[in-house]
Amino acid sequence: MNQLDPSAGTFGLCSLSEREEELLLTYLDGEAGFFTARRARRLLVASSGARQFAHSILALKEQVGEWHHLAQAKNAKCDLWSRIERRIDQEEHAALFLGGREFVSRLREQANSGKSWLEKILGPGAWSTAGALVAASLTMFMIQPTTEPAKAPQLREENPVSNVTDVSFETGSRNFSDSVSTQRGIDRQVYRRAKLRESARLESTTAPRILPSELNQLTQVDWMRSDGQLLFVQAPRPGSTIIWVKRPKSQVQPSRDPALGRRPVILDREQDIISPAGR
Amino acid sequence: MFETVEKEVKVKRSSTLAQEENVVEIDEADVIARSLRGDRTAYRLLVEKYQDRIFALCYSLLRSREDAEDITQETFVKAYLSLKNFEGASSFYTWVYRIAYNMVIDFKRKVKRKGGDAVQLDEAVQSGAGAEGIISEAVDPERELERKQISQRIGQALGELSDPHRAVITLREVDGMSYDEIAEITGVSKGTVMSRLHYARKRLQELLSDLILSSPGTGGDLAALLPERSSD
Repeated sequence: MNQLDPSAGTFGLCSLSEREEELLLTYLDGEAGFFTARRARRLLVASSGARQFAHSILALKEQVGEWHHLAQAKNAKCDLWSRIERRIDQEEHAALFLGGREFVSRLREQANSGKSWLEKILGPGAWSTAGALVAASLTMFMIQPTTEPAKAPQLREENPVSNVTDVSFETGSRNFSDSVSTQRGIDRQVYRRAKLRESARLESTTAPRILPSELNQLTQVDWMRSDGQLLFVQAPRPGSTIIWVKRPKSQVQPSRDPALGRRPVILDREQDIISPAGR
Repeated sequence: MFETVEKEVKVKRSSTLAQEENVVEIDEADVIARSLRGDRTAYRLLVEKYQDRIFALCYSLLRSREDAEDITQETFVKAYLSLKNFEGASSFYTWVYRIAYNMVIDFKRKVKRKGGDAVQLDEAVQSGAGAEGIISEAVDPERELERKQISQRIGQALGELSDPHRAVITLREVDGMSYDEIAEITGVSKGTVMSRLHYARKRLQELLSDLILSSPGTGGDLAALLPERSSD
């Protein structure tokens, strides 16, 4: 009744135009409206090529469905839940130290949702308002007298690493490689003393952190944790890496001493900054 | 008469997985609300309901069982941690699928950046051995071998498709999703989904022509379409 002819084209389906094929696919997928379905049915009745095409599509659906069924048969035995629960525990534990994850996909969803978060908050014309605000901020920043560079040498003597944070947070004009280069040539004894002193003082702060070079030989950073705002700076000296993690303001502990807000924390344990997931 | 055809098409539309899985009827809104309050047992219901489908999508795109399991696991972890962001604008499963799809794409990018050869084909996929669990139940050894070969052929043919094409085929043929749902998950327009499906099917038709021609399983479906001619 329905002998297919492989010799005629791929499937003997040469008689169908692309539009006809699309019409039939829409119908076979159950996506056709009333009139489209009617056209598709007429085509199926009138054309043997259409019927052959329909046959091949239905066969394909069946084969692909069966393949997936077979291919994932083994997975039924896998206890996925216990793995998921373990990972959730890890994530919740990590969130105590690093704050909850804000996933990039969420941002993507917002971007794709048609209306941005800015528009949702400020309504139409949000971008103009935001632009004006940014321009005003920049103007204020530029006319403000800069006093910080005088502080830097002092800090370098007192704490050879804290200047890195200050420079990076208080000026937008200097790049990170400048900051990192100040670490070069630091006396190791001075560095260790400073490290102990700073660790004692700043143990509980959540300010940006600097990982000492001797700890980061094999450092993996879970960048998603920082909401995509993590900057990874490789110092000129091999093996000395600084990792900056910007945390959302909402994550900052209320009890934190504001005076310490811009100071770095020197980590004693690599695990403090590396994702416990150990990916 | 037309109604009969409609019914047949609609039956076909529901996916293989959807047909065969043990659908657990749960009140999703309630389960999500409980999960948001930290009720892990409630969240487990959601995981168990969707894990096979999510795995199927990941496996189809990654073609490595281990990687697919890892991404499936991470998808549910991420979904749990982001549950507060789920606004209910779309269904939960569409939302989870979207997370899974994005995670697979990110994973593949990461592998590519590291200089890896995308994702290696699972040995089980190449040999068709992944189907052991089911195949061993077959009584007839000839049939068993045949199914294994078919599975291998289809796996290879799907491997010829690009990721976006494989994704739409999987979401459509395995999960039985609508064009709109596929568009939402993959982040493209409905027109693009239709075009990708069309291309993917044409390509698979070319690659699997002999299998499709000899396929006995669709006789009933086609017969359901054909009576139209005799009636007119």
